[in-house]
Amino acid sequence: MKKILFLFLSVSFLMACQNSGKQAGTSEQEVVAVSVDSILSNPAVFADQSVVVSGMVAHVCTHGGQKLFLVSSNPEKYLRINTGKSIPEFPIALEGSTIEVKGVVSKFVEEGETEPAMEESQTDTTSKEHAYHKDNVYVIVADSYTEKTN
Amino acid sequence: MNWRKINRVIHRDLGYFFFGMSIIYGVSGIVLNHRSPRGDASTIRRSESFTVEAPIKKEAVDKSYVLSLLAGLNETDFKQYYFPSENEVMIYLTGGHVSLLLNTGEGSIVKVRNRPVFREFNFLHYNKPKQLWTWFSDFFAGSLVLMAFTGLFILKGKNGIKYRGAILSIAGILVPLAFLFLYLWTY
Repeated sequence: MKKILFLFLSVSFLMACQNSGKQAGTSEQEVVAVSVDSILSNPAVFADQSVVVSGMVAHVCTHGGQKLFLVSSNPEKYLRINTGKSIPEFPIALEGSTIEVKGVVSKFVEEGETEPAMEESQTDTTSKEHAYHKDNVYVIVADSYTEKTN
Repeated sequence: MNWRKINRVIHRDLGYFFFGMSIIYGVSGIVLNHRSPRGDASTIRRSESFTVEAPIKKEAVDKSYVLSLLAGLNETDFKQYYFPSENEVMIYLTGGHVSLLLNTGEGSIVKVRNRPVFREFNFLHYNKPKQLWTWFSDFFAGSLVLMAFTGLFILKGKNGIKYRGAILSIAGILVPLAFLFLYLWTY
């Protein structure tokens, strides 16, 4: 009996470990310091680049803290930051703080969606939420962030 | 040892081992079912409306104005503020924010904090730890499937899978199928 249980546990763990080797190799890339406005004005230029960007956090997603939005000089545009593999979540307490984010500018593709903002508008129905998600064709997938003193 | 005993032991031991995980995923599952645009039960959000004298000129909104506004709301400090539009100022507090419409003077103060236990359960259910937790929760999910199958063969006789068990199992499968039929396949 013990052998069976041991065998079962071992097989389960081995199966679970199969997808562990899929790590994106971005550590060798040069990191470019950019402003929120410059990314928003022409995000395609920075596509797949590692960047460092600073800004004030306007909003942290309350559905799990997997994304936040940085304020730009255009009140209608926000830069969306997604958590990367090394960041479990963005705490709500970051709202109103200035943070420095290091990450990769990535084209935002939600699985099964052709329009990036569509899924968000269905779950976050307030007009303010809609404003945050507007035009988020490119996002920064954050590797790390630090909170600056306000 | 016959196969039925092995089946029972697997079901029993996995059930014991994953008692805690079942509670975590069960409770947070309910929380996730009842999400709203403003968040879910893992956060406590309190909102209060207020009105101040209006209209307020955007240029008049500075640090001293913000502090006097907050004093009226029994708040003493703020982190930063900005203007989401020409007609609105957003003031960030520690653990909340104040939103004020400049033309009408209508505003709201929102305080948000994490709800203990629910936050921790959701943290795990959302797979926020990632990496090792993914493996463990995959193991749990796989074990749930195994427990479902082993559970079918725990009892013999009329209360087993040959009669009562079969009726209840089929009924339990029909319920999600009915929802799929009503809300997905014929919608």
